Amino acid sequence: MNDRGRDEVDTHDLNRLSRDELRALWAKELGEQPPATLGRDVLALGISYTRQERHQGGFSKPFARELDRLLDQVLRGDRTEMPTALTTALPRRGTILVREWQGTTHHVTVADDGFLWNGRTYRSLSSIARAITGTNWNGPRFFGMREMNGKMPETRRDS
Amino acid sequence: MTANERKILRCAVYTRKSSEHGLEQDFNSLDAQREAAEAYVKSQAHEGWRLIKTHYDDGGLSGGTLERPALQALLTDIRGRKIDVVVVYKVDRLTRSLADFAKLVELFEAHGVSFVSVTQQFNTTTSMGRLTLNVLLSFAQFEREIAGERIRDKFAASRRKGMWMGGTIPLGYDVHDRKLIVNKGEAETVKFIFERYLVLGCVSRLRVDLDQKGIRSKQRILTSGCVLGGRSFERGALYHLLRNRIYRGEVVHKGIAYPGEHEPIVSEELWNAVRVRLSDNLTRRRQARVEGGALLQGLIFDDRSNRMSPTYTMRRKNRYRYYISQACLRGGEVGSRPRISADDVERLVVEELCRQQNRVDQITDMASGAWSIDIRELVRTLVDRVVVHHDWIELTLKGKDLNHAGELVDGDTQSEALKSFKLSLAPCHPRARKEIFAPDSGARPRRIDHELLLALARARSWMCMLRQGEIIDTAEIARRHGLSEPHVRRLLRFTYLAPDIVEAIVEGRQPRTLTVKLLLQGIPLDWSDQRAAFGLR
Repeated sequence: MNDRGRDEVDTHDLNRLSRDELRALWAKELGEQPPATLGRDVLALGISYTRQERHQGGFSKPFARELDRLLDQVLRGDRTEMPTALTTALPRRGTILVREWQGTTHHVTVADDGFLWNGRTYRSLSSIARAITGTNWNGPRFFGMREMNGKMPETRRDS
Repeated sequence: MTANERKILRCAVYTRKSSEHGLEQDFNSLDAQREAAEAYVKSQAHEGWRLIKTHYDDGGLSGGTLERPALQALLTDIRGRKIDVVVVYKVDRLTRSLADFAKLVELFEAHGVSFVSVTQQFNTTTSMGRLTLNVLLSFAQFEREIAGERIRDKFAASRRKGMWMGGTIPLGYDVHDRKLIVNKGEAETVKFIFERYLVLGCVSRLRVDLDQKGIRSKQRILTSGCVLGGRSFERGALYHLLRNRIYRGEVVHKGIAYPGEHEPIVSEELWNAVRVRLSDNLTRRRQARVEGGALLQGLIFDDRSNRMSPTYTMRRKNRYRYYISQACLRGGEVGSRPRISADDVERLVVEELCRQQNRVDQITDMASGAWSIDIRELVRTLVDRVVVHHDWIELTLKGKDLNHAGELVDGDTQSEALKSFKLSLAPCHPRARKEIFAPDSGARPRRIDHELLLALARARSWMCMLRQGEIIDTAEIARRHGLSEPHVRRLLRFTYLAPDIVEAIVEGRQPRTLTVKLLLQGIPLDWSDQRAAFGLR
């Protein structure tokens, strides 16, 4: 794990800058014009976040993807769709996924930039699932991340 | 009243006269009956018989039922022990039904009432008397049944002659002198309906069409003043109309059509065309039903006696069919194999059936579930029940068998009882291992704070929309969500929480003190300051 507590990123200068100075700094460091409406506090937070992220790393890619998916569900008010199993299964770096497939047990480790399996890094769980099974699978589903306790797999009633 | 050694017997006279015209018509009148009975009672005065004042007279009522007012009054008085002797002119005045009479005699005996018939001398207290009575009543009942048959025969004979025998008058006809006469205007409507059906080819569409054209059913006014009909046709009424042989000038009695006395409305040509179309539609619909259903629908159960219903999943345009236990769908105790591939179990059953019937040709590689009518027929006639166990199925056959010509023969020559077979089934795979080990997930109970998650989700999505220019300013966000603008601005800061804090919140690992309220008070710039402020590590 990285040494997050002590870093050399200086954030204290931000407190002294005016709003206009912060806007200019944002444009310089984030490479885009800040939204017109943001105040000093958020501008400073945004800049310091970007600096620290560059230095210490942010979310792992898989986590960021799943996080977006999850928060999207939260916004849609889909509380039933968001059991604790799902949130525990967010691919935080260091998480190990174990999946048995036709007698062989496979271990996948969540890394910063993807997933480690068989000594290689894969961009997605789905690509690992395809490598294991030879067919297309939904990766998170294949590795049991979408499994909800006691819920039936989706089936349609014959009409 | 003087003290007499003989007990006083209170006598009640019951008279009845039905509307039937009998041989002794004069004599049968209520007065005549009463006169004779009273005379009889008087003649027994020395025995202590005394007439009571109440008259029990039923005029115009059949002896076939006990529901007669005077008789009921008599029975009430008997139960009230107000009567000792019942006097009638003839036994059949009381009842013509043997069963009813048995009931009456029982009641009489229970209340110590004797029963006397004026013209038929017998006493119900002796066995000989009861025999005589039974013989008499048997004949009375016989007579009554004969009368009923006579009426029915007459009715049938009239129908055979093609006479209209009453009932609701069909559209297209009027009734004059008990005969059907064609009503010109309505007859045109009937013809139009027949022709229109051929054009549309479907009764449902015909119904809508007629409704739009304002064609209404025949209106009838009942004697009670109720008005029926005169409304849009329903489908059922149209089916009836299109199949009503009256319009071919025929009269139907018990399923047999006879040439009628009335004029036909629909030509033979039109009639036949409609009939062919109707039966065509019928077979098509039946076939669709047979072909569409799952082969074992209604026959298959799991080993906890839950019915298993056909279902399917779609994957890449492939349909995978299953039978799934009702307990899975509605709750309840699920059997050891709650769902099973429809192809597997159907094939197993069909193969076993074909093997038993020495039919090999039947099983071919066909599309899933597309069993031939032959096979479906075989399954429906032979299979009583299929029970799915963990690694075998129990196939129970009805006590019937097909002979080699394929005809159904009763199984009693072989074995009467249901026959059961055990067919082995590939066991379902045990659930493959799927496990997730999160790093230092710790022993602390997870507690997802939905309010916090929502705030986080909103902040991130707002910031995203602001940066992409989808939303102009925070005022608009505030308006959309009914929040104050300062609140929105404070919430926006949540976007820049340190990644590990977000992870903790999403996974429910955050300290209890970390709430929306706390975060709204301010978020430090430095991640390590954030961790310190919010109590993480």
